[in-house]
Amino acid sequence: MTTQFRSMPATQLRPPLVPAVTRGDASAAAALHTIDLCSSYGDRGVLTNVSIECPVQQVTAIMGPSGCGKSTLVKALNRTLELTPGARVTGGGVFFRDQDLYAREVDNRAVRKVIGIIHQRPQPFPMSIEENVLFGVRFHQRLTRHQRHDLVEACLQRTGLWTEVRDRLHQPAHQLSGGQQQRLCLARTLANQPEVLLMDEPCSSLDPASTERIEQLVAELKRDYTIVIVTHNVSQAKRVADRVVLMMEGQVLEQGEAEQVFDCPRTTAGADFLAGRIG
Amino acid sequence: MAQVMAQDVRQLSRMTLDPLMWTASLAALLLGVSTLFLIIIYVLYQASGLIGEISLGAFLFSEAWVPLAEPPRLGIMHAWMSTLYVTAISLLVAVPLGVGIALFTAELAPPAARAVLQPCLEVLAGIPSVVYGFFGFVTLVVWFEAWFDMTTGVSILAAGLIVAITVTPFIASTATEALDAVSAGDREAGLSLGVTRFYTIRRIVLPRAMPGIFAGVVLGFARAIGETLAALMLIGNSVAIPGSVLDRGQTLTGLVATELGEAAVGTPKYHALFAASAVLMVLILLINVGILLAKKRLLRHGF
Amino acid sequence: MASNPQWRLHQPRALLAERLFVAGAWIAGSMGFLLPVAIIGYLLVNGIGVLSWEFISAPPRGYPLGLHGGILPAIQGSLAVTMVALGVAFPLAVASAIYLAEYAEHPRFVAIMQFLAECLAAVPALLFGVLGYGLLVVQFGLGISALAGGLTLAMMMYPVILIGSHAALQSVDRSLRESALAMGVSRAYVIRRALLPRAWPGIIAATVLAGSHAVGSAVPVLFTAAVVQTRSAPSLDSPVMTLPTHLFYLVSEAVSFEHAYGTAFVLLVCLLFANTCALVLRRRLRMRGE
Repeated sequence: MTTQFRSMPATQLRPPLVPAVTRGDASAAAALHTIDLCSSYGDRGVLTNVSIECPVQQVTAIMGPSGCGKSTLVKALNRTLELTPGARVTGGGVFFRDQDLYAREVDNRAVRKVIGIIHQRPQPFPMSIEENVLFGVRFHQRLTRHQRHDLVEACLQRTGLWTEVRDRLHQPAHQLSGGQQQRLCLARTLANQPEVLLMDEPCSSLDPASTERIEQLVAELKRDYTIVIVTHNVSQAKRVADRVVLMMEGQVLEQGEAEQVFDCPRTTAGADFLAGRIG
Repeated sequence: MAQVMAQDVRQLSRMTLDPLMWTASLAALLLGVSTLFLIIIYVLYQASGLIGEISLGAFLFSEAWVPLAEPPRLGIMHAWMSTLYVTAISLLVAVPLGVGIALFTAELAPPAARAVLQPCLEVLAGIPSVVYGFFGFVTLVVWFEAWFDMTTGVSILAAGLIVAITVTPFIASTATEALDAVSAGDREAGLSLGVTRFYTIRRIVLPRAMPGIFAGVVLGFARAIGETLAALMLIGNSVAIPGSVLDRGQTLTGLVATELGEAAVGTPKYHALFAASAVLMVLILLINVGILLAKKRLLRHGF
Repeated sequence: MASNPQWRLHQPRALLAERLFVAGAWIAGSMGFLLPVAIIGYLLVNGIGVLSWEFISAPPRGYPLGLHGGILPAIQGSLAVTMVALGVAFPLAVASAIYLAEYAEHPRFVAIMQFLAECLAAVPALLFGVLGYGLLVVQFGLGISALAGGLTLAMMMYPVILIGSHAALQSVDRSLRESALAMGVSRAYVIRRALLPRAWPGIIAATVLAGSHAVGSAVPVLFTAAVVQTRSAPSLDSPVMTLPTHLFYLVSEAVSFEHAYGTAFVLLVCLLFANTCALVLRRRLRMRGE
């Protein structure tokens, strides 16, 4: 792996940063799906028998009132749930192209590399902008200085940050605005060359302009990545989602094509939520 | 709001205990805090008696300590060199151990282990230094005699190791505090990029906690310098300039503690001992003031 | 299921570093546990055999002194010196804390006073001893006496009690104090009836910690109050024996290691008991706070 990257020409790291595997696969087969996923926090069950599908190169929005377990679900998808003390998956499974991600031989860190996650609040690390982007890369790959530079540029280009920060790559990342920080977090996740992007309410701490910017990015990135976005904002889901999963009290209420769910929800609870009658 | 309350106090003051309480408690505060200035002024004043007897350079760097000579030779080079050796050894042991304990407590320990470890460290911090000295005397000193084939095991190394044990809980608790202050979100964001825990700690958690850990280490350094009896009982009280860590020596604190009671009041030796205390005091106060001010500034900038 | 290499981590060096880190941290953690257990255990196991009724109820005897007999005067002396110190430091420190927490109007003044108290708390015990000796014993002519020793320890305890009490008073809910004041009573009344009862456990915990620190502290007493031997019951104007200085004497003059173990045992048991009480108090306080 190491030698492979060392010998690789830098140009191959330029965008689109997408592995060849998913590209040719034009069918809407699920890249990621769960079967009867259950999880608990301490003794309290959070998810019960959640089965969802996230098709390749589509945006799947997970929605539901606060406390319904949507964050728990999205964290379970790339095994970051187990980082929360007391939280764990108790049953069922998460499958990425038919590989059980909770199988014994699967390393949770490898899962997190392939399935990246963006958190609610941007968390810039205490280092320069450039080093923030390279944080995961420096761990996972051994690149030449030239390759690293190209990669930083590519990832920042991809998230629309390059023109904004190209002159201050070596300044601390916490000087950026909130929206820029969130795009930086996206860039450093992209630098890991993931295949799936999970976003846990990525706009909840941002102003409207930054929110719009992130939504644009989601629309652009879905050509190359499978995206799962958690949101409690119905209009945001309408703008970005191809597919919708509606959750309530730890269970899946409805799921399907976005238009179908938005236009004619099958359950009254789902209709109530979409109409804003349930928070 | 404080003003409104102050006004309340003034209005009510004629009929209540407030003026009495106010005066008495302010007097108590000023009296108590003034001991700091009392120590500084008194020690410096007594030390100034040495002016004219010996130059500062000779006192610190060249003269030997032979107070019974005629005229008395009053240099403290041997003492601060011993202090330096003891402090260096103790920090070499206590910093890795203390920071290691802190990393364990803050990053790895299951809650039960943490609940056991913290009282243990508090117990360690509560053992008086004379008991540490005694413990070192019946263990380390005896072992050293066997291991290093020494006639007596008392040595700078023994003193340094015991001082290390006295400083470790302090460094561990300040470092734990600094590590605990790093947000869980930082750790989660790092780990969710698929890296190991150690990589996250090395690149995110430690840089964030570094100011706090550094402050703890520097304050630990000040404590190690000020440690008296534990070092005194194990170092062997020799006024020769130490050549190696297995030599005997005499720390600054030890010098003052051994000789002050025997020095005739007003003699150059008496003043020299105060001057030695002054060196110690200035060093420790400077360190503490520096760290406290830096901390206040860091807090104000919301770091 | 064929395991796909994609799902393993290919960083042997990083994984090795991780393993070394975990091992190192566990070793450090267990040292943090074993060290106090070993030291305390070693001293207690060796000390308990020495303990007898005579040991704690008789004065030292024999030649050199302390070879036989007991340590009663040292226990009495330690108690006497600590009582004097507490009697002086406790009211002063609590009153100061009350001023800082309740009366002081300028935040800047409070910050400066806190800063000075923290500096004072960082002054090593030796310097208090030096001051006590030079000023109290020699210049004020108190001589080597329980009073001089007690006052020296009082200076040492003062900042510890002050900082702890101030924190305890500040942790009392602001709304409690404001609603009490809104009743139109005086501050003194509010302090006495509403604040002190709430802050009491914290103040006591700080005092016990400061007291146990003072009981165990030998250097300041060494210059100001201690002698190798007394037979009389302690009085303010005469020198006393104390537990830590007696232990120091027994070890440094190589009188009797057996009795040193016994003395260390008595000292440790008292301090452990006091510290445990203080910790329990503080923990209970913290739990109530949450």
